[in-house]
Amino acid sequence: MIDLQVGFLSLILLLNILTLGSSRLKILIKNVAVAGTLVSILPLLFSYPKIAAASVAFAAVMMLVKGFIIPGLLYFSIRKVSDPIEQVPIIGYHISVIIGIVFILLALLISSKLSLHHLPSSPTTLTRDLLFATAISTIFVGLFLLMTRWKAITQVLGYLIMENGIYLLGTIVVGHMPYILEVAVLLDLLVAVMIMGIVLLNINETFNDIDTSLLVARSGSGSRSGMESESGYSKDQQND
Amino acid sequence: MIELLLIVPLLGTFLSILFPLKKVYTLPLWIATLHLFLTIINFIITCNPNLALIAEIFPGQLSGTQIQLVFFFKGYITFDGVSRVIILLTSFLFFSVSLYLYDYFKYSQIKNERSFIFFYLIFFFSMNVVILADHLILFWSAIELSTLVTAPLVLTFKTKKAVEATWRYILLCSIGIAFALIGVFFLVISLNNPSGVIAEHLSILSISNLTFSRLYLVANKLDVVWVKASFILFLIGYGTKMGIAPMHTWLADTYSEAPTPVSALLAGALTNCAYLGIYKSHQILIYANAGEFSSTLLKIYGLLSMFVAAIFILRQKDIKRMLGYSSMENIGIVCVGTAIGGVAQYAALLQVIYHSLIKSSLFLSVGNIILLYKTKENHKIFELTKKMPKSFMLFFIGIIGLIGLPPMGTFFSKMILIFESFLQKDFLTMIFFLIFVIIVGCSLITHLIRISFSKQEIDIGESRDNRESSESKNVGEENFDSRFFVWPQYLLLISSIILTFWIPATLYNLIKH
Amino acid sequence: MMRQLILLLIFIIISPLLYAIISRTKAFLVGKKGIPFLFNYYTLIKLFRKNVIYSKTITPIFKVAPIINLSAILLVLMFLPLGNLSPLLSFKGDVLFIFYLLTLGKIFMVLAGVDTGSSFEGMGCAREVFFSALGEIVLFLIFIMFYRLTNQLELSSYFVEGKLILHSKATLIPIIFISIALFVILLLENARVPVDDPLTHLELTMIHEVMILDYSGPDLGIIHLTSQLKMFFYAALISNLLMPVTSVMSIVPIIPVMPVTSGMFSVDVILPFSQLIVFTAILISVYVIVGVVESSMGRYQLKRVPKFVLSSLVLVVLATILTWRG
Repeated sequence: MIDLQVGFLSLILLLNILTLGSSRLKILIKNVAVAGTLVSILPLLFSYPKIAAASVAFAAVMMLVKGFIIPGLLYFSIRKVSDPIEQVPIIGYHISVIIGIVFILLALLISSKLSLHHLPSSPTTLTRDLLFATAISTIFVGLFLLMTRWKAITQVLGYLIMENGIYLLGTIVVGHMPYILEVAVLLDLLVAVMIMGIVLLNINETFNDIDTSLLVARSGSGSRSGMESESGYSKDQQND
Repeated sequence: MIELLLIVPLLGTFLSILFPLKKVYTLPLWIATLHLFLTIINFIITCNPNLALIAEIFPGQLSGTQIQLVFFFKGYITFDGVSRVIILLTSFLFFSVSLYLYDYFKYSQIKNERSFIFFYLIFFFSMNVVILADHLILFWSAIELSTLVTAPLVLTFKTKKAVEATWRYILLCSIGIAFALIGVFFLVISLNNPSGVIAEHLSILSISNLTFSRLYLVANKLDVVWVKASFILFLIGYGTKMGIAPMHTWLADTYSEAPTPVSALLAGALTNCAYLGIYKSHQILIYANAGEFSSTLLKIYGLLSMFVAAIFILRQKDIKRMLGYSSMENIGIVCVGTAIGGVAQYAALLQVIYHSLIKSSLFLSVGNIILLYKTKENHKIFELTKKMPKSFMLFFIGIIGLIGLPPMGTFFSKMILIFESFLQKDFLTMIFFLIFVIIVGCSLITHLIRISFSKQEIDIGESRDNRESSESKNVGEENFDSRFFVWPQYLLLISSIILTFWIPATLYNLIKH
Repeated sequence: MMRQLILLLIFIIISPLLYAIISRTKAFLVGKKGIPFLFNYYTLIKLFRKNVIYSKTITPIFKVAPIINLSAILLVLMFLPLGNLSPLLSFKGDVLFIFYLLTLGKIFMVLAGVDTGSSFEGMGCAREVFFSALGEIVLFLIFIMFYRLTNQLELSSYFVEGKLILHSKATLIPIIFISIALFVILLLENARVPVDDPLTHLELTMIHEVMILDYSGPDLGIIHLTSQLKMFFYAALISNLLMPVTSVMSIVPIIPVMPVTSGMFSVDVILPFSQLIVFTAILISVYVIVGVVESSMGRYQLKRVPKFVLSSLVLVVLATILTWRG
């Protein structure tokens, strides 16, 4: 009666929404760590009867990286940050949660229309649809976090969530990837987080806070809207 | 052996940890020389028409006269057409920039030379992997790696602006590249074509051997909808890395804040690698009979990039940003050329080659200028002709090349592009193209004249933020016109001029296909 | 019919006892002995014997409100299935009827609170109404989901014979989510700790208590009884949801279920009896969990309560998604 696959997927969905609603950085990191762990175990569940030893080993490695090493690195980066609470973002927390729910519903709609029959995953239609919906909605949630939050570390976490979603999408799509490539992807992720952490430390040293609104406001060059206003001789803006 | 091309930079990376600190700045030069040598040898070997290259696409295809070039990593890397040209180009660029670095280290304020060289060599390695990679996911990993590895390079001078530029660069490019990974997965979905026809080779195609070469062969049997979807994602993903508008926002800042040799390499080499991704996926679509779709998209984005470049280059106060926007213009030209197809594709590749050479040399000359004047602002630089005549000449020739006047090669490539779009009766594209090229050309000339010939500093009142370049130490009026500060640029420009007039037949054949 | 009436009366009488479980649990968790189990009865008796005092500014609404509230909840309780036994009353659409009855009681209490003319009570009423509005969304969504699953609008049909659980679409996980969401609503509607601390009588922090400040004597007794019954109602909903299926029950019998056809120990009597024991056990554990939650959390700032309710909304939406199709 307990459908473990459905359980995991709903837990992942819940964690995503929880991440959308949290404002404290440490809780965010914990959420992403747990979500990463779940995501790495998920392929094993989906290929339940035939589990190769290599895939178990790989899942263990991935769990280690996503659940412990990367969050550890992030904790280390924000140790020195003075204010480990997110500023009120452009789109407030409650609305973010509701938008997250809307994303999930949209993703379900998309996945039910897509009718991917041939994919090497699950027996029931619900689980397959749910898997696809979880993958797509996780990507959405990651992008959303990236776009609407101010602190640099939340942006890194958004990137991590997006990568989780892409990995889930990969689980649906491919039964088996050559492990060397999966290791390459994982390694890329690890290095990405390391480098982002280093840059974060630098941001913290230079600006004394990891608030990217400081980055944006400083030089008017290219904020998120992407258009730079360069009039060379006007006096009323802080532009280039 | 192709693998040597990959092993050499990796070896260099290890060595950079071990080398004594005083001598470490010579390391890039050694590695780059060795690499160039190997590349030329490989190139010559493979261009011999008797020995065709092997990518060993399907087992049992090796026949007698074929030499196996790829020993390990068989399914993953290849050394075909466009890759050959670009790797030669990249190797050459690295060589020239390493030459420049030899003297640059003395006068710049780079605090930790060893880490700079470490990341520099890994950057080199990653670019080699990108160019040689055949397997889609390997390609993807290598591009992601190259993004990550250039971030510390951009961050060398830890000013506030540099930190901001790095953060934006790394975040935007990583997100874009993540989209490209989704595109790869869409391609895998397209492999399972529900409309039935199973090609003979399609059935063994799965993600473990998802290489570009195989995809070309089976492209017309794939599910077109998913292939188109994957192209869109590739365009967004690799386009972010390349600098196509509207994903270009990181470009100007990053080129501006990075140390000049790094900017030279970013503009010259990394853009080409990202272009490879777009080129190859465009090829897949062409083989899948959806070429018009990708052409349209590429044209739109190419023209958009040129538009953005034209607008922003008009009033730039910062030299390196100006060069960055002109890079964007070039990216737009290349995309439009690729989109038009046929001979224009040939012209686009030529443009890629010429532009890389010219832009790198320009950046290096600008590096000299910045070292001398200690500032990046346009209006503070004056009388270049008097102070640094050699750099001036190089700068002048470089800007001529960017604009597209003869005798520089970019003239010919742009002409061919325009002719081809005439022939295909694509007047709208051509009109916009010409407008933007003219705008950019005029702006560049304006900046050039102001920098070179004006007698004194133009006073525009208080400049709000200080564009003092943090690159140079105060070592007095050194002669920045000497030795390795100018030889690389000479090398690059002369080679571009030579290439304009004499293209080896093999090169021509390669580019044609 | 008779049996169900007796059962209902028994549960109505026990509800103050159950309510005391919460306080006992809280006391136990901090190492105290706590109030005696019959404490609430003593309170009720004491209050009913007192005189009532009315202020001069009130209207008849103030006098009538507690009685309306009590009758509403009593009526609601008649629709409640107890441990898979069908309730006293049931008709098509009684779900909505129950809902509006509860709201009716609440409206009158709020009106009475405003009636006293004190701005302080007005503030409490405003808060109460605000939180109930939030909770209403969640409850409605839960009932909509139940309707989608069973296509029936009678509260009894959801729980009698374990229809909800037996239905193939509702596996364990959505049930868990709904139970948690219902639990949150329980805390919300009954003004327990994360939403409102029933023990504080500090000015700015009361919500529910504030409304009833002006009541005294039997009116106050009625109000206490009403809140205990309301707590019983919500807890019973959760217990119904969590009750294992009859067929499962027969595998693990608490009292041996043998098809005895006659006499006092006929199947008719035994089966429900064992179910009842399970039902009561789950009910008591719900109360205990409320006590544990109360001890372990502090009261939320008022601005965090909407987020709290939003979390239960998310759970309900997820449960709906999970049971969307087969």
